[in-house]
Amino acid sequence: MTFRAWLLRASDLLQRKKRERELEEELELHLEMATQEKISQGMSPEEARFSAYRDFGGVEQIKELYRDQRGLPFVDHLGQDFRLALRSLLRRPGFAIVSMLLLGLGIGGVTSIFSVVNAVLLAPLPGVDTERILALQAGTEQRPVGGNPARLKDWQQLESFEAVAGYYGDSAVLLEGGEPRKIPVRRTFGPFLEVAGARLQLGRGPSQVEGRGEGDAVAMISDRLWKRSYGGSEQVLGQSLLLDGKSHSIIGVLAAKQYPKELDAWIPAPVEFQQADRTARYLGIFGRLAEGVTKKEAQAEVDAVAARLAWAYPATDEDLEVRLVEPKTLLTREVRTPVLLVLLASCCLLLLACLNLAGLLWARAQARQREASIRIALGAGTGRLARFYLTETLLVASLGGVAGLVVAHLALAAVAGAAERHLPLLEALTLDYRVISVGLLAAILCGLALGLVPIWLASRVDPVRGLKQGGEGFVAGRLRLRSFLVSSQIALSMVLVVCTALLTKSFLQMTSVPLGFEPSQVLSIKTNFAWGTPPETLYSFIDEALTELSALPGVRYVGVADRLPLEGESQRSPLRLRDRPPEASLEEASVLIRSVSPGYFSALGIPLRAGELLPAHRDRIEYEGSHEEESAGGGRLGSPVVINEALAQVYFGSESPIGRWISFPYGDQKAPPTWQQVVGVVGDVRQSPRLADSQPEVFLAYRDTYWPILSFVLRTQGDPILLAKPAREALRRVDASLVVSRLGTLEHELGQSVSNERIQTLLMAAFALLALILAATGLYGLLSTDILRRSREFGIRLALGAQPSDILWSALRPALLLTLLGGIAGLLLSLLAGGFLKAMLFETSTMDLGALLAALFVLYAASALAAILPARRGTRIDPVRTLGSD
Amino acid sequence: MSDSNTGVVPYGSLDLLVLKTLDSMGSMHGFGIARRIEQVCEQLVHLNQGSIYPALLRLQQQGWIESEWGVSENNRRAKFYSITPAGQKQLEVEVENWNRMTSLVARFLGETS
Repeated sequence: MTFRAWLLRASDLLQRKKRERELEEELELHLEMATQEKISQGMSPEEARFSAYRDFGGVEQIKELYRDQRGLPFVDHLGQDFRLALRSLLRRPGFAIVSMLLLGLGIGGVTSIFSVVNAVLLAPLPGVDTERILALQAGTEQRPVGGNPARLKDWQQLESFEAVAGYYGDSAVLLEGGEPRKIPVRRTFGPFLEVAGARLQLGRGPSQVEGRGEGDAVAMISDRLWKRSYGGSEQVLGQSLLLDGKSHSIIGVLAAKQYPKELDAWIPAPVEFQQADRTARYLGIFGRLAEGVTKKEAQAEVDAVAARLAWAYPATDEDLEVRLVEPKTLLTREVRTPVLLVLLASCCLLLLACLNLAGLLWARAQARQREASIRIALGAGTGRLARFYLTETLLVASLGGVAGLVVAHLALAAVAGAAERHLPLLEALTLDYRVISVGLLAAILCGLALGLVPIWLASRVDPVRGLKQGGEGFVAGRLRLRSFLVSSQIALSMVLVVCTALLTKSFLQMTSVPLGFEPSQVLSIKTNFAWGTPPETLYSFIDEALTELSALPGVRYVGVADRLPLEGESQRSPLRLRDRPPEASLEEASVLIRSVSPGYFSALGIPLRAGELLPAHRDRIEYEGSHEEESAGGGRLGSPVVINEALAQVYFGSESPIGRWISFPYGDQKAPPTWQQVVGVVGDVRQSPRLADSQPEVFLAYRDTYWPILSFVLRTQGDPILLAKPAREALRRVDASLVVSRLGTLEHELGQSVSNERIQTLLMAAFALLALILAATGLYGLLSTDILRRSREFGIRLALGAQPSDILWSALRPALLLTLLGGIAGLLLSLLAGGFLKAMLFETSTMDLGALLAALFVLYAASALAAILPARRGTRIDPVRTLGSD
Repeated sequence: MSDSNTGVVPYGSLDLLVLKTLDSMGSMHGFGIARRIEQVCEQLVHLNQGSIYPALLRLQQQGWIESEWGVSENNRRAKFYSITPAGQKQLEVEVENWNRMTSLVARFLGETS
């Protein structure tokens, strides 16, 4: 057919009614003219009309031929099939509703989870032109290390990059209506606007001089802060923003779409920070690739420069290794696996829903074999029958798809709310074209896959048998396909049950490892000062705060640390012993450093194993003739430290660490050391929820470090939460502008540290439960059919004296067999999933016997529950009735 | 009722007959075309008059003829068909094909009979 003919035919399709009327009119005129001609030739009117009709040929056949020539016949047929399918669905609305629910929930689940994957892993960062941005990440993948301004200047010489900038996150206190409020800010180094491709909606970015932290202090603010505090007025430019008591001139307002969304101000870092040396490690560094340069080429240049830096600055850059990483990868490193796992689980559930529905379709097609037989006997080709069935399942799937999108739309807000605390970048969560097409694609795939079932059955219809046998006897068709469907469902649900069992085991492991301290009856209060706050201000605040807090009634011990247990790490340094060179195995190792006040150990109930705790002196301890005392390794002497048992074990083995001198060179291995004496050993404390063993850790007095992030801990006599208000007020008495960032019982804070793991486990459990319910209903349906089919056999056996228990057993046997087959297949499948799960498991093997047995038990319990009802029906068969019915 | 010596219109030749009719007679309605073919063939072939309608539609879809609503001799609304330039070209091609075909068959029959 030519294109023109296609076009004309398609346009006919749209004006079917008009074309039909015209045809009618044309043929009518033809017959009338023929009749008149014959009358004029002398025929009687009746004779003439009859003769005209005879000459014309069959009017209806001609019309049918004409219609086939007009329009597109297959579209007509499609419409016919569609109307037929709709009618047949409406005739049995139960099936339509159940299938819409199954598919709607399945597709809705996949679509909502995919919307999360889309927002978190696929969508670009809001307000950032991410196309060519790469992070220059020093250190290893497991242990990334921050950069420093001195090295940033080296990176800015790279030819592969158009621009390179750095930043560190900070917070600043803003006085708003007399109330101090803490706002998150970014201190920037270099041309960060250019690198991020961020847009200003008002004003300008910092000049070269301002960007270096020299000249007047300037700030750019967020759209949110601009609207809230300045009413969105253009007069904001040039106004003064008072942060931490320091005045900044506002020079620009960023576009409303920004990343990260919580930031309120971007401020060039103070000049003293910009001149920090190569030992500093606080910068995140990002670059914008030059036009036409690939990541690989850039990496090669970075490697070459890193090698040169290692040669030029061996003390600090000896092992320098810098990887180029997409910012998105960096941000989602932690969540990628869990999010993909949940997506996989939801796909598993959709597959299960499809298999379940296939079982229903099977039963429906069986019930319609008679109808199919009649149609075929009357001349419908198998092809036409198959097409009708396919239309029917596609219709069901489309309805399911629409229901799925509705479910996804409704679930969107709930998903956002539930996942907000656990996932980054959720602000990009929408049902965009990508999400919707995934939902529709899922629906179409379901429809096509489901269509195979009735087509397969239609191709096997034997009209002679179908018409000869009546109703029930005919159910004795094949159960093989349906058994396969059911055992696949069991296998899939087994995968989810195994994942749940493993995650549960892992969660229990994670929470059952001894903490090493006593978390009950402890209140924790977090606050922080801006980086750059003068040390003396910080130290005197800590001293006064500790005094005020310990004076509160009901407080037994008060302490402070840079972070709470289970909150990971902050500072880290290699460790040197004064009296012997480091062992080869420990050359590269480093220890954790925690800044604490002496009261920290008693407040948390951390036991002292040897020696004594840190001295309670407020001032630096002066050793006699200390400062320049010549010692084995040279260097000077500092104040005493406490270590944990792990450190004692690793560095001192069976020797006593008490009284030994150690030092921490941090980033600079060649600087003269400060030797500090070990005065005590305390028990090991869990440092991170994801690590069972404690790493070597050293506790330094606050005054020996500079770390303006503080966690106060108060051991109380009664319920710690009662002290929340008095404690907050006490801190305010010390510093009126202080903002508490978190306050709560330590037990609650610890619960937060495993909340991601908890929600992952619960989510997987919910998926597994749904899967089990689906598989169980599938099994139940199959067994019911099977019992019906075998009712004659059971009747005869009962009549011959079989015990009900025998019948029960033989009715249950297929269920047990299917569960076994499905269970084994599921176990094999979960070995595949195990590789994926591995990264999420804590001290749990993917082959954990206990978890696998528990999963198998749950699976069997579920299928026994599904099987027992129909099986019991088998034992209650009345032999007289069953045998008499034929 | 056809006599023993009248055949049906050979398959595929109806299009040619319709084109030729419109080419020589100008614009006509369906009944006119049917009658004209019958007259020219002088009862040699039996034509189901109705079968020209699907043929008319097919020819229109090819772009060889076009139709227009007009008024018939008895003052009724009727569809008039006329040949297009493309149709005239097609007619030439088909006539030539037909001549070649018939002469081929004639020669073949002449030689073997």
